[in-house]
Amino acid sequence: MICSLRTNASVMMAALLVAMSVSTNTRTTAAYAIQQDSDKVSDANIAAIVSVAGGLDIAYGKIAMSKSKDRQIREFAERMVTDHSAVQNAAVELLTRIGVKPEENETSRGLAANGVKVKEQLNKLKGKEFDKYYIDNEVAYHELVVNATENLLIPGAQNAELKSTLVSVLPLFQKHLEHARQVQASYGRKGGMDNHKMGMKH
Amino acid sequence: MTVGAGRKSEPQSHTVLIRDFKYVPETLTVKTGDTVIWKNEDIVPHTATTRGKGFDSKNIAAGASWKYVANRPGVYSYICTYHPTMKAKLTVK
Ligand SMILES: [Cu+2]
Repeated sequence: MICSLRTNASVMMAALLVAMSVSTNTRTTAAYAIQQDSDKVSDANIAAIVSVAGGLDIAYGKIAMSKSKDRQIREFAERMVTDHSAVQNAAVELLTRIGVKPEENETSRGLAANGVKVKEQLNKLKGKEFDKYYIDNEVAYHELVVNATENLLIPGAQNAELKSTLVSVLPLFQKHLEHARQVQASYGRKGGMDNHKMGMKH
Repeated sequence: MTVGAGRKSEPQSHTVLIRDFKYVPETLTVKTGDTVIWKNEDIVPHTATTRGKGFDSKNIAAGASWKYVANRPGVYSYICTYHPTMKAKLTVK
């Protein structure tokens, strides 16, 4: 944690958004300066963040499944759609049962706005450019989700069952992140000529 | 040590839980002829799949199980093909 930053959700969101847009131009793993303010996030806010975030990755995955010609990318995308749909269903079931209605907030709105931009790019790009953008964004997205779950959502959750559910889906997000990095690395070796221009390898 | 047909005890059944994106236990040693059951306790599907010769559970749905009779001695490293960073090992003696 970078302590000099002010602690509020907008700072966190700004950091996340910067990191996400950076990832579209470079392979560098963005350093996320997440600044949690878990005191200010309600269970209803958490519900909205989870729902928006999950919905976005499902949407990205569906675009990749229909557009990419790379088998590895398509399989990864299919996995994201399957797993995040399972999480969404479990979340809806839980939230209905404990009577929490999603309530928009700065973070969920920021995520949604960023998602619009990402979808625009995904719809526009083609071929290897598409694959690279998709997988780079998946790495950035899952870094964001892992960090937000650890530092904002879990500490912020008030309902015990909501908290324990978030704890139990964290490994899923972490595995997705490892998997995304694996695909990104192999994709870079296969097709990413531009990644070696700096003379770092070969 | 008894190997294969030489075993004297009754075949046993072992369970590997798939929980929080991990195989529990991650290493398991069984005797030839024993049964191994993979039980998926996560909310998403997984597999238990060896890279080369061995076994492939294919899709194990959330809440479902897959049963395998360990008939060939050997050391089998396996993964989840859906989440390839999930790894474990089955030794059949
Ligand atoms: Cu898996």
